[in-house]
Amino acid sequence: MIGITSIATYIPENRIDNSQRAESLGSTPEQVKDRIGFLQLARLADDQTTLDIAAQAVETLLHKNSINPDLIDVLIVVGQNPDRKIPHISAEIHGRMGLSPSCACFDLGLGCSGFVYGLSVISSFMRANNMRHGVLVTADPYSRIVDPKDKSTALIFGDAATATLLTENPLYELGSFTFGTQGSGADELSCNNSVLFMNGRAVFNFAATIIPENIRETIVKNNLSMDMIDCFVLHQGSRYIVDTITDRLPSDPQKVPFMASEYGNTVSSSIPLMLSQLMDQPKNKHMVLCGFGLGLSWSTTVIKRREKK
Amino acid sequence: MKVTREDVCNAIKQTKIVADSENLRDDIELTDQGIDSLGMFNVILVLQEKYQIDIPDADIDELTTVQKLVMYLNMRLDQTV
Repeated sequence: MIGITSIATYIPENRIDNSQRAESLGSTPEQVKDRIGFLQLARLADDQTTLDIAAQAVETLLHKNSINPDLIDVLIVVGQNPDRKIPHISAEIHGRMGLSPSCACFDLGLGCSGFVYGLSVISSFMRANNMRHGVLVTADPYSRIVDPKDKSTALIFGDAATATLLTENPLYELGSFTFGTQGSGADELSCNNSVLFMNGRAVFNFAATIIPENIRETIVKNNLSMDMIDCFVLHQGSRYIVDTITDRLPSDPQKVPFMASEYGNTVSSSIPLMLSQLMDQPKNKHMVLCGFGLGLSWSTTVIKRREKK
Repeated sequence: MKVTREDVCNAIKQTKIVADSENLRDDIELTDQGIDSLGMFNVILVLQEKYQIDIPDADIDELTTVQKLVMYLNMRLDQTV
């Protein structure tokens, strides 16, 4: 049974203080705290690249798990803001980390739903090819495409990278997945001429209407009930989106953490950043993972903690 | 059936944006009564779902008070009869 064994993260040290610049962007410090939820946004240093932060996360993961780079059979990177269009950044990470020539590497072009999609892709790929060690990387620095004067996006996105180790002896097993796309809304969250555009109302409506129903459906698909879920790990779009989904599930807010206030919405990294902490809590036996956004797309699964034998 | 101020206040209550939705003033801008733009997205969504209508982006800028919301919803519902 292939599943999640360990997660390593990298959050740049640089921070932007959202409270200080709220008013210049048509907001208030109260709105930043209570609605948007991101007090600070993590930012790449001037000399940092997407490759740098992705490789840092992979290096930490290998070191933390005492894994020889030669053992990695597949490395997949989720993101859409690499340093260069060509080659695929997974190959660049392969080169920097000195992975084995037999290691498969490819990229997945997805946004906020990408980590959960990626879990399904990498575990299926490993099973199909009899692989034992896989690494799923998320690295998508939106600071590259956000207009710092855009009121809709400038207070939201932060930079980070994560690396998730999947093995046959995991801490968490992967359950059944659900996926979806509402392509008619693709333009509502899009990058045009290298600048991000977001129709906040359209994205809010999408998240508030589609996601609670999809989460309920995924729980049933996994032969579980709402009360058996210990933690809902939702993409950290904003505090208000997380609160609204919590209301509409409905769920006990204690089970739906908001953990991104010090670094922002890190796109496909938001779920693994949370999981890296939540996995350390044995009380979290069943966790829902739900990514949603760009596409407009969504992907959800339930992960189950394995009993120690 | 006409939409009343109570209906709109109940929709606002459902979103939990303000603590005391019954005491909202009809003619004062909702943004001045603690409902920001994100909150308005939610209020409009709840009203869309309740009355099964689509409220286009172009109309939202004008829907700034309880009174205007009541009038707008009644106009839209009259058109669908």
